[in-house]
Amino acid sequence: MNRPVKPAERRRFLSQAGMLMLSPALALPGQAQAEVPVSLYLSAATDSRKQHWLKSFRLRDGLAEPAYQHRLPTRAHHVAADPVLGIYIVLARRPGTWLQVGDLADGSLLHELPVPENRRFNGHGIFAAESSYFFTTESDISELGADSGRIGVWQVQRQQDSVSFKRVREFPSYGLDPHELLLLPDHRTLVIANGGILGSRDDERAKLNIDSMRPSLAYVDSETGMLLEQHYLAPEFHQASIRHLDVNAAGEVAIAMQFEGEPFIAAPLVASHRRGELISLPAVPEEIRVQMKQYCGSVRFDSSGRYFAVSCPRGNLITFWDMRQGKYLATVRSRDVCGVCAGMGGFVFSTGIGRISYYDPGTGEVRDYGGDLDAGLFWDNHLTMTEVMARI
Amino acid sequence: MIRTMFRTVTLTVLLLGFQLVQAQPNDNWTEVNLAVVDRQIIPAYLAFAEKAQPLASRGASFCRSPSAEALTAWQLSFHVSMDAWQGIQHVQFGPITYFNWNYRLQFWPDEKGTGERQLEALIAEHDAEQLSADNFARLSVGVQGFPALERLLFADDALTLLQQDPFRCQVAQTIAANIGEIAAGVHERWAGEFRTTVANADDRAVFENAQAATIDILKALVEALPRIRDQKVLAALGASYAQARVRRAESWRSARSLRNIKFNLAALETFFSGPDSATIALSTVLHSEDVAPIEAGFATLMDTLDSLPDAMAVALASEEQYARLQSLASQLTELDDLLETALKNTDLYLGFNSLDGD
Repeated sequence: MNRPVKPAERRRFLSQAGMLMLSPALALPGQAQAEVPVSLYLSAATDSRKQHWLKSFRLRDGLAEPAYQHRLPTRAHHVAADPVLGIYIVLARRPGTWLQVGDLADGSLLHELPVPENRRFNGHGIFAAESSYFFTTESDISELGADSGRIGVWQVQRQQDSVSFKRVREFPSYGLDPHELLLLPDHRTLVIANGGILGSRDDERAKLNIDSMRPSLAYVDSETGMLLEQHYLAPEFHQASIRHLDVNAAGEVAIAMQFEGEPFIAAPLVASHRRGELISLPAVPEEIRVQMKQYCGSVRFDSSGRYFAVSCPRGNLITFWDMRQGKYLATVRSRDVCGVCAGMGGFVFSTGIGRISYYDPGTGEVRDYGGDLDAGLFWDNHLTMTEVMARI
Repeated sequence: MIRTMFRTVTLTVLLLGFQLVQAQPNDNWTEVNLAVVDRQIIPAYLAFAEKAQPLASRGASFCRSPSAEALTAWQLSFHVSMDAWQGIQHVQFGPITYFNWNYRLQFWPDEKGTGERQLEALIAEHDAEQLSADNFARLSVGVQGFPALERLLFADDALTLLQQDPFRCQVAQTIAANIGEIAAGVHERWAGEFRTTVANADDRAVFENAQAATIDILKALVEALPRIRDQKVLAALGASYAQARVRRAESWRSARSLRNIKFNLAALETFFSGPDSATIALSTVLHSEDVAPIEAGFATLMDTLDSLPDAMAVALASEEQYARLQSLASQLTELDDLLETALKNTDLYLGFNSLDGD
């Protein structure tokens, strides 16, 4: 039942749902304004008054131009966007109690729903099955323990000005503390990062099982909920929490980890995986590994799927890797950098001090984007790029 | 009505005038950074390196002829080195992070008693190979630094134990030499290369820019205060006077837990206000009206510390002193709050994703 969206179908939906009005003044005089696909960036952010937002922007002429913003109830984490339905979904930060569905064209809120009873959102979700389903990582707080990880399955339908969003079922994540999940290119298999950290019901950001945690990478059939394959790191690295992932068109998975053990242990923080193989740990120069401060925040492939970026907000740097050769490439210094995504042929990244920058893995060029975005804006952990139709 | 308006206008003009004479925060980041590095960080590491050198030679003398006097001399050398280390312990960026130097110097707090277990195992093995400089640097951080040396030099029956087992003495001597080497190494890296890195911070080699280096310097100050409060004070105080536990304090064996804090706070105060009026102070990056309350906060803390003994065990012997330690903890919180507020009034953001990520 799953198949890639055909370009013609995609264009039809884009023109119906995702039309974004941006700077019509730039159209040439006398020329009809045509709609073209443009890249729109979305991220959760917090301002200096501690107000939380979903913000979107475009990159043009060296500037980050704000597109729209939408106030959120509490701090959010990941934003998923679907140009076919013309919606975005923003998820509350772990332990999350809400999820919002908004219009990708103008940011307006279409639907907000609370987390089901005895569940907490873990901040990530992914569209699947031709955008008709959405999968969320969750924890069952009625019995926090080794098997409390859940994947929530939601059915999504877009009508003209509304969206119906209902929970249809759930299945186990085959671990606890599932964090990021993604869909493989077969459009059916989910890959899930089971972070392995046990929270507490009273203080769900507490970490109760650091001595016994056992994170894993699980491949699960999104239709049956059956476990297909599961991988663990070597026992000495059981405190490396597998939290963030990305998948390229070949189905290769890039992994970013956070090490919960002692700070002086030489722990792996970046890994990659191909189905049927063991998790592989690419070598990293020791001076860079130390500077990563045992903590990676986000990982994304570029559009070619060959290179991936791993951000290290505690180390104030973002690292770049070559998937094909399985090796570390380069580091760029950027304070409090965390959000990263493919964009403009390279990587676009955002920081907790309001910066938006670009890195070209081919030339090593770094470009900082100025613009009207507030200086006192803290970009949150993840950055998403999607294409929308807009008149330019 | 008109009179009210006139008053308002006058007040506004006065306020504007007042604002004009307020100095703007210093944003010459490199100037501030180098003032802190040249006048404080590098001299403090140099002092530490110099004070830590005799640790090894005193150890060698003692192990040759292990007398009570020689042990006292070695213990004194330990105190002098520890004083110097506590004066620069707050700096947690730059060369101190190389080769796990910070953890190898002082693996603490060690809640599970890992250091003790590993140290006793190492001594029991009697394997001299483990003590070669190359091998020793690769052993667990728990056996390499101040807490391990303190255990050997300040145990109740330290003299007897060291006299009875020459290998135990050799282990202590090796730790002492290791501390001296690390101290020398950190100073050498700062003076030889990291100063240049700070001076050229804008070239994006280690820092994103010069302001990012200023942020690391500010973090050394701001993050030290809650760490001192939580790890060095509150952990020992426990939930009540009856539940106080001196063994959770830093350096309790050498009876200098509060002495450490005195050296920490003296160093932090100088770090903030500068060593003398001729040196550009870190405080200049703040709005001038925010500086005086912070300086007053330091002064209050120093007064409280002056009224306390050096040893946590002595302080915990009376409820009155216990109450004073509680005030010390709240004064640390107040000073931390003042610094956080002062920073919020500037464009200097210490971090967002880096503080509590996911």
